[in-house]
Amino acid sequence: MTNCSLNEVEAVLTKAARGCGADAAQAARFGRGAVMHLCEDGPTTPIHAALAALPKGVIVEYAASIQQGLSQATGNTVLFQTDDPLWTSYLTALPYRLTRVSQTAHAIHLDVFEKTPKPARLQISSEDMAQWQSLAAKTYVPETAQSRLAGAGAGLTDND
Amino acid sequence: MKDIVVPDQVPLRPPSQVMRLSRMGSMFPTRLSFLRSLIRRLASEKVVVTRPVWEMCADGFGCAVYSLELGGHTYSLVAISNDLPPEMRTDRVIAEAWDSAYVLYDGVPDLAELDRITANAPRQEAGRYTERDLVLSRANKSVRLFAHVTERLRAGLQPDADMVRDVGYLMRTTAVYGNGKFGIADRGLIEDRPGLEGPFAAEMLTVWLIRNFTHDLAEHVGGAQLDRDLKRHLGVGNSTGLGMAPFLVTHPVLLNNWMLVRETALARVRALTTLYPEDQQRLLDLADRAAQHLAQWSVPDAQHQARIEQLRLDWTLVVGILSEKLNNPKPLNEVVKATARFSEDVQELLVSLLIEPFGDLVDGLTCCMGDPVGPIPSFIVDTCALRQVLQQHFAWAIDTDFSVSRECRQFWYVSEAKQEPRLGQRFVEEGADLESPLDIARRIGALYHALPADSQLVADFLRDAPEHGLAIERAQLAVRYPYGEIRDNLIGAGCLPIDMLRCKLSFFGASKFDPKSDRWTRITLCQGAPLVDELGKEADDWWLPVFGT
Repeated sequence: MTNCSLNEVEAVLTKAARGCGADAAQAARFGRGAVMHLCEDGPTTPIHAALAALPKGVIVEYAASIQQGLSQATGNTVLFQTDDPLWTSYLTALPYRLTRVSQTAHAIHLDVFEKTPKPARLQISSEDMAQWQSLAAKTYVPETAQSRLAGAGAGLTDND
Repeated sequence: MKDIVVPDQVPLRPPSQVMRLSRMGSMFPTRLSFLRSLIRRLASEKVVVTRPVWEMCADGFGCAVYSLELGGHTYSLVAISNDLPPEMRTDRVIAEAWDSAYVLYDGVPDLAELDRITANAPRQEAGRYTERDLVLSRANKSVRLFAHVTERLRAGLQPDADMVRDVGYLMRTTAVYGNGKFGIADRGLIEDRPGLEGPFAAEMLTVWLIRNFTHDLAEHVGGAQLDRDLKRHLGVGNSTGLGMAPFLVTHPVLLNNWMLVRETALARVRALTTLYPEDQQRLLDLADRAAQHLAQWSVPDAQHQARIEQLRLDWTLVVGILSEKLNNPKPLNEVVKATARFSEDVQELLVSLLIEPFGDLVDGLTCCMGDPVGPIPSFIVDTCALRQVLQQHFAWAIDTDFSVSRECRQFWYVSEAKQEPRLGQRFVEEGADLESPLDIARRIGALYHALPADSQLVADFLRDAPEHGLAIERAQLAVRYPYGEIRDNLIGAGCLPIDMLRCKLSFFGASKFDPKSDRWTRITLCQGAPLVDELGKEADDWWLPVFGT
């Protein structure tokens, strides 16, 4: 297991989603939601499944569902059915207060902005991290001599 | 209950004026910059810096620890100085060794922790870190100046003042990492701590302590004390490249809050109906200081040097206008209006000047420069409303014809080599299919033209066309964060990343911008800033440092 910061896990998951074809905003939302899921001791299985389903699946659907629920709010509270832990984590990661109203429903309070407390670290297995990193690597452009020369600072004499 | 009186202000300069690359690339540090805020905080707490560890050989290689208490917490800078062969010295991200490496540590490291840090920090990105490590950094020597300073000190002399003035630093950082990178602590762990709640406060604290270390190291190797005035002028250099540019695009809330605070500060001072004589004199003194600063700011790049020289000439005219208007009603508003015909360089230097004397009026705004909960979009119900938002906030993007090659000639990407952000030529280089999503203008244009004639729920549109997710999100953010978007085409042939770098660096408090190309620059941080034993009553008077005063 690797002792990870939350930000590096979020970053790799966001890139992994982009590497699998997700739009950048949906990938970022997934990164935040998936980290929240891991913070709540959720298993990695639904995270892998979500990535595998791209360019369709929950990463697209959850982003649209949040858009739908919040844009059609008529008051300060919006109810969401929550029968899937990853979906609940998506909602928890939003910048609003979230309260549980039943076994299968949560309410988002649009008039209270707050962050849900999270642990300091995440323990991620080497296998999970390697898989996410390999998906994230799909967003990187292979190094060439030309691109290296085009990088910032190329050609500089640094011993000033 | 206490009444809160909000100061008067004139209307803010609109985003259409402020959020243009060329203007952002003309910005100067202000008293709202993060380094200035941090030093004020350190001074208000009468912070004392100690040096519990100094294990350094005669040649200046070894380890040091500096500790201080801030806001009820103890922090330590662990500094490691290495013997770096000259051929390995490069400021680029792809470097693998540096003259020195640093960790800002949460607490005081014991021996085991010190061993861990000294084993990892010199490896930088290749090392592994824990939540006790708050910031990771490295720096290379200005070999010429470091050697000169130490040789002079060994000879019982002080370094050549002209050389100190011209270089301005003994070492330059080439990266200052925060927020969870490579396993260091997440920003969330420290963002509520007094003194570190502001943006990049931990990073700025690190830089200020690194500067102190570079002074100590030179004095150790030279075997004598540096003159205090020379030392105060020795800041920390920094090489900044494309890696910093995407931040402003990927953090629209922070960008909005930084710019909004700066514009609000300007709007407040412009609303002042009269000025006390001491404020008038202060403004004139500072304007003179700015002129001296400009006179001491020279760069090798011919184009940028020409800008500086024009600025020097124009500034003399601005000082004349300032002198004439100071007794008028709403004098600073009059000055801004009367100088609107000058270049953006002049206008933005003036903004920085006008804010400077009025800390009581503007310093409180700095608490609004963070992003405490994350982006809060204004959700838009249907595509008809979305179209209106795009027309209102993104006309600059919608009107761009991206079928013209000039408008999309460049593309941003991340190289697999140490994940370095780069900018490529779309019609020449490979990799555009893996383009980073910084092409906001083009995405907005594509969204606008893809909207259906008949209104549809945005959620349904998003399900059918998920590729427009980012553009929709930016539209929803623009309603709440009007200063959150750079209003220029970032993939056009005319995009100069250096403008983005200067904007961000000015918020850090950088001065002496020294562009080396259109995609990277050297700067100086902490130049003129109080030394660790100078956090007294004058600790806040170092806007635009001038050598020899």
